[in-house]
Amino acid sequence: MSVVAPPPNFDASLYKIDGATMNRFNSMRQSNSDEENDVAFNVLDKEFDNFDRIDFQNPRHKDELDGVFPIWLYNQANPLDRDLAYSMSRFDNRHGRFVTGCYENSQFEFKLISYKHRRLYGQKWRTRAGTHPNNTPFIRIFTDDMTIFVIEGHRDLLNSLLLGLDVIMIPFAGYKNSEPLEMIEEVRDRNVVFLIEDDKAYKCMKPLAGEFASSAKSVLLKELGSAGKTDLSDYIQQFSTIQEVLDGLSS
Amino acid sequence: MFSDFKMIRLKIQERTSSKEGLRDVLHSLDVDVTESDYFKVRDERSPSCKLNVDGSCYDYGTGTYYQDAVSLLFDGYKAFNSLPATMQWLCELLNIQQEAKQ
Repeated sequence: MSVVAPPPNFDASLYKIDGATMNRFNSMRQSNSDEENDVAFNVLDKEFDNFDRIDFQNPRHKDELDGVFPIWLYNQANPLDRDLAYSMSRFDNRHGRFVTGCYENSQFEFKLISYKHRRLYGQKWRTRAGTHPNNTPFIRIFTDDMTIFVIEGHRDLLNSLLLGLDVIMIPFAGYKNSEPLEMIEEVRDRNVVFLIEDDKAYKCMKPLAGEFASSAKSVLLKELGSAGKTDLSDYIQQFSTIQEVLDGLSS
Repeated sequence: MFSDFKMIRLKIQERTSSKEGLRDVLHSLDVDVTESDYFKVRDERSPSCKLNVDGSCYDYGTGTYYQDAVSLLFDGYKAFNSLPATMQWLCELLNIQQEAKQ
């Protein structure tokens, strides 16, 4: 979509929504997040498979993929990591949007419970109607000694998969850990780093860090950017190799 | 201006025939939309117009139905004085190629 000047006799300030009203409307939506899916698993699976596979050669896909992960990261990634990210990614031809799957039991059976459309201008990604994936963390821990990173959001997840990190992804900043014991076992005797992007994420991750502190070797809350909202996917834009990113994260 | 109004309007409807499409148009107008797809068409306290999945919207406050982006901008927001001006602005925004009148 191109940038054009707004209409002459149009006053956008009349149509602004104040913070309290916005919160009320958004909390109406979030209160549904504990519900179970209204849509059957096989229906979701079929819908997700009907989307196109991603392709950096296709210019329509490329514009959208550039907003998710940089091409150097995709090319340099370990083939197994790349296959996983590739299998979780699709392109919706009708809307011209990137789509990613949301999975339950990511350590074992990898069951698809929903999928999300990318949205422009850094807005929250749109979940498929009738599904509630926001209580399901994505856990991918495949080594015994590496640092575990705790991140927020599906875009960060795809980037960290390509980087080959051990990650726990929490779906959104309002997440509450409903099954603490399972996750505490995952982090036993490991170094845990929480990557924090803003105040909202800090409020969410601080109690989680407190729970992890009982079993983990060390827990660190780390802010990536000095000013403004910077998450992992914004942070890696300044580098050009995976090794540089890993060095930056460990420093 | 345009050679065929009907074709141009169909093209605009095609591009904005989803919630995402109309949301992008509203975003470029700098209009706030809540996560539950409500936004304001009038000067009111709580937003009462809701986006539908097919890119149309319904104002529950006044009972007005806007079938596409053109009717929302022209009838709802009254942002332009004429329909051709509305459609021309939307064509520029959505990168729709216009054919010159012969």
